[in-house]
Amino acid sequence: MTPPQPQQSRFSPAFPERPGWTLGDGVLILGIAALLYAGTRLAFRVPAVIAGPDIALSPWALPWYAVLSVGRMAAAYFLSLLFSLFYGYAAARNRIARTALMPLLDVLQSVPIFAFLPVVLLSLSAILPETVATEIAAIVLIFTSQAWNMTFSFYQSITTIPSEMREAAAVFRFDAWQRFKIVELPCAAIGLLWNSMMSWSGGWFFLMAAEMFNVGSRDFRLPGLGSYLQTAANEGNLRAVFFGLATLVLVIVLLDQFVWRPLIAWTDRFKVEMVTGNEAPRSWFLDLISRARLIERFGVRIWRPFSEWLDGALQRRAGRVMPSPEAPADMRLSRSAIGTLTVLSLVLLYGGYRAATLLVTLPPSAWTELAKAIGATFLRVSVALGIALIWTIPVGVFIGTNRRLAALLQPIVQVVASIPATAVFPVVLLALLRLPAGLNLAAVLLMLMGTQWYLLFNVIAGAAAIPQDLVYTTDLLRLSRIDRWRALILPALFPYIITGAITAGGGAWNASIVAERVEFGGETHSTVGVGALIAQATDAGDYPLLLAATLALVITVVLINRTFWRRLYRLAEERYRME
Amino acid sequence: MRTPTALDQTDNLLELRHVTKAYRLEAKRFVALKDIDLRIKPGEFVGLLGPSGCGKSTLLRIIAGLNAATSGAVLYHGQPLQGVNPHTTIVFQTFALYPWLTVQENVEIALKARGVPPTERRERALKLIDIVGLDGFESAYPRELSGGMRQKVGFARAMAVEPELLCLDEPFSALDVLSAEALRGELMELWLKRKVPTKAILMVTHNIEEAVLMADRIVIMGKDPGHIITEIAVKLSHPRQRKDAAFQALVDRVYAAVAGRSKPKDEAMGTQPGQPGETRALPNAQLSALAGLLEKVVEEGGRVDLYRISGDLVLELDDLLPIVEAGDLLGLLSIHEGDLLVTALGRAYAEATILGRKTIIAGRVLRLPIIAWIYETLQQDDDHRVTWDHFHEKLEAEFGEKADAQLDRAISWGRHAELFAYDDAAGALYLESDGGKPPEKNVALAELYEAWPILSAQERAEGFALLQEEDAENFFLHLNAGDRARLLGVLPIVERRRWMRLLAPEEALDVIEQAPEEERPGLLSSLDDKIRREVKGLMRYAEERSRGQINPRYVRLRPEWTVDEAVSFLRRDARDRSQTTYYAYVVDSEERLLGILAFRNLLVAPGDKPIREIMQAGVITARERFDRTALGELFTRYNLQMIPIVDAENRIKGVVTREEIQS
Repeated sequence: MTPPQPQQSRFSPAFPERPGWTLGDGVLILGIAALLYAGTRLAFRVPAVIAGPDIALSPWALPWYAVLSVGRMAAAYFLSLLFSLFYGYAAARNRIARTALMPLLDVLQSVPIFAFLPVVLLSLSAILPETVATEIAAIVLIFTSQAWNMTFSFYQSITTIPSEMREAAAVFRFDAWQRFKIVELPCAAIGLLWNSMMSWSGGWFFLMAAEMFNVGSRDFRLPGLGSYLQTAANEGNLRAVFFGLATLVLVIVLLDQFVWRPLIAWTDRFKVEMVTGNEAPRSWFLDLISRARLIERFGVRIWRPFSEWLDGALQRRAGRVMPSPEAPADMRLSRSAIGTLTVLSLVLLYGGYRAATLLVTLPPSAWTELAKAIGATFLRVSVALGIALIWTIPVGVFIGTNRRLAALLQPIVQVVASIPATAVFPVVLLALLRLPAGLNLAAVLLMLMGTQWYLLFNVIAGAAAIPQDLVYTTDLLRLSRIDRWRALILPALFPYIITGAITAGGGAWNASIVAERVEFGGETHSTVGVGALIAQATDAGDYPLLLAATLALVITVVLINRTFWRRLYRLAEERYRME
Repeated sequence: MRTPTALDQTDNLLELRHVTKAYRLEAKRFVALKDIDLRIKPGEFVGLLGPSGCGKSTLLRIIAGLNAATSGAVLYHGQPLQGVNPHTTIVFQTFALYPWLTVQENVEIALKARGVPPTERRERALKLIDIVGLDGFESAYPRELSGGMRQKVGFARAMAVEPELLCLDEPFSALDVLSAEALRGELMELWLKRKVPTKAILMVTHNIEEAVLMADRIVIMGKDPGHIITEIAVKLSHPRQRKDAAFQALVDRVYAAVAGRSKPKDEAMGTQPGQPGETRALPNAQLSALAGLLEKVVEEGGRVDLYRISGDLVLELDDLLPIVEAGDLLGLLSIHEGDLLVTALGRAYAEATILGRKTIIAGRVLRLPIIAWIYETLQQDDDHRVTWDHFHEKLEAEFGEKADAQLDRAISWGRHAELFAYDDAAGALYLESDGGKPPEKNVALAELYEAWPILSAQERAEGFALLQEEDAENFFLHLNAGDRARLLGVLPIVERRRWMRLLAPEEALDVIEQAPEEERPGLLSSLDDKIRREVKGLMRYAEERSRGQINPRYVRLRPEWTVDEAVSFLRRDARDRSQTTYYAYVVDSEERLLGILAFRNLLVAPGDKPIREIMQAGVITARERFDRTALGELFTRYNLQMIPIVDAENRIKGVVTREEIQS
């Protein structure tokens, strides 16, 4: 997991430099509506009963389930990586593409991904065999949770390459491949890696939920660690729950030690700063394999000749045509592009229109119910966020300002934080469902578990980044405890808290989909909320309601992001930056 | 310069004809480079010199083919250039090395991009690394090297591809002084001994000495828009010595050419934004830095050599020129043949106090069209508050992407002059509203300052009478002492009395002494009590001095004097002897010693008492038969160095010193 190094663990949703609302936003909402409509339209043909997989609770089945889960994650991740590279590259190199792609990305990253799960599942099972459909749906879901921040990171990295480095590439006549390999990819490597890790841990959250998604007579579960945990908790088999969780933690730790940490240590060489960092990240595994003779042989005998051949081949293919460093900004649209755009906008308009006609069939009572549901979920999200803020700020400041403590606690906090909240959710249900308002409690708890870590890591990073000079000054001024927080700590933390809270808030909305209505112990438990409404609509096959609820949820979250968070984010960037 | 002929064209390695670079921002067209003609011949080392923002780096990039010219021709070997010029490379200011590649890989990559096979690539790279003196560092990463060594890699990489024309973009300006000097020497050795196949070098720099040290020809550029001012050939032989008279003379000449000369006022100012004509951009300078420069120049006698002062102040040309330009624009400085001259107003400014400076600067700054426009816009607004965006939008039409910097500068200058301020949270400019000072007053004040040196005594008095109360007081206090006395001399007696009160005792005395005999008592009595007494003390001092009664060994006070008189007498005396008087011997009219006062006792004594009273209380003398311990206590209690011994008639019999009593 991510060690909180200040500049890196402050994961920021990178708003583009564009004020407020544009026509593009309207088009995007229309597009989402059209897509959702298409999905629900397909869903009309879904069989009423979908049988889930049989989950074996024997510990010996766990390795296989772990392989399945990791396989899904890996597939989705590579899809995301490819997408990031192409999308980011297109946006960075082409001005027209940029004007369309970046706002699109901005909306996509603030949309609650889970809201699409039922629609995607239903529409895919309508056209594909059930097992294939659920697999693809899970991968698509994880992909949509992983891709955006990676894309943003890659885009930002290659647009902020120092101009002289870019000019040197042009003067020395690098072809496109060389430029990519020697300039662009290395410059983007570190950012891309940190965001990959971010995406990957986010991915677990969604994978677990997707593997255990189950509404009424439609069982969309997939064989994997998520469904194993859910089944185990469902049957009250605590031993199996323990084994399942242990396996999950083990898998996460192994990936961290054998994949992420070596990669972090290795990519340290791609720092653009010319100063030698005082603390380079290290990895025992990387040290081990980089000393191995086999690896060295591989490098000399196979890798180097191969890369030489590859460079040569690509160079010959490029025909030695030297691209100009000023990308020829062709602002005119070609005829085919105009045609495509026209067709696309017609399709969008039609989709939007049909979606509207479907929505009209909803009775007015359904709309009031929907409004109530959104209000309830909003309250839950706010409570979860409030609780997270209340405990993470003091604890984070305490850890962040105390280096020895930070060194001691960080590994523990990281392991705890690495367990996806959704995986623990069945266990939470097992404990809480019997209490009055148990599901409500469980839902808030899930939101809290899924989101508090973003905040905690950000607060720790922020507290650690408070300049020592200011701390000394505050000491000299003999400020009281309250003034100290008001004058120094809170303003210094503000940007970190905001970026943490934006991500946390998004996570909490997502959690509502799985938390508000659950199948447990053969019964359906439900509470008031937009997540419950979506699940209920999925179960009952009430497609207009499903469309309305999903769309309403998306619009609500985008609206909150645009009006509330973005304003705070700008304030944080402009006023409270420590530079 | 020869006239171009057909033969000539093939002779040139590179030729630029009427090259212009412009870009559009919305409706307005911004010209970065205008009508540039330049030729580079084989064997030449050309220095391209100019202040920042003159487009010299852009020109370099056009020559390298990284940027395209908007109009005009770029000919290489007589052929129009298309795309990146394959025969040039650039050595960058920031080195532009790839940190993830080793030294050798960084050099090799340039060859690899040209399709040189691996073995040859390695050989050539190693040879060049050897030539630049980095042997042994092949496998080091750039971050392990010092700045100078990194730039050597930059040179090796550039030379690896054997360019005909080597372009250097301020290659030494990111290095420390010593590394830069060493690297310059090494480059010159490679170049002069023809160790590399480079045919010509073009170096962009803003360092005049560097250009004179290295180049055969210096092309000097000016800005707004970027254009070539002149070319200066450097005919000195290598190696060139900075201390040489010829070298220094040439540097001086280049300085004069770069700095240019002051423009006529109207042309210099330009028009307000949104009106026809060009708006003059505010130079990138802090007004506080201008104050520092003015002080320095005044200290140097009002006229200094630009070259010398940039050395004295350790300012790069790029930092100094904008400050000079600001001074020129505000009428505080002017430039003439490479020299800086302080104007009369500039001198007044340098000598004024902080408040006086603000007043002067407010009037001057308000003459600048941008500032005046902002100020007027704010005045016309009901709340005296207008958003940053409003101004920015208008300025963008004039200055394009430089509008940000212009507005920030205008705000900084406006703040400095206390004309208007900026509320960052609200993103709005607003008028400083301390009673809403009308600007006209400030302008009149500034004009009086400006005109002061050339006005006759009578005109000065008239101008002074026109000032409003508060301003007049400011103005009066900020005049230098001589001017102040002369001004009072021509004021009507009533006025004069009023202003006298603001004076320090010494100045008051000056004025009184210059006044006709019959006015003196009146003037003296118009002073505040304390000052009057101090003036009296000074007058007594002058009187005694003129009568030759000042004893070189001690100071005598009269018992009827007040303490204030005595203090001012003593201060004056201390100043004349340039030492502090510790004891004052008080004598009566018959010159008999009445007692002795230690100065420190005087200072703590209460104000208006006749000196006799204090003497009775605090005089420290010793009688002939003294008790040694009691005397020791006296020394310690009053921290004295010496105590006189007197007889019953208070006549001095001798002195006892601290050392004597303690030994």
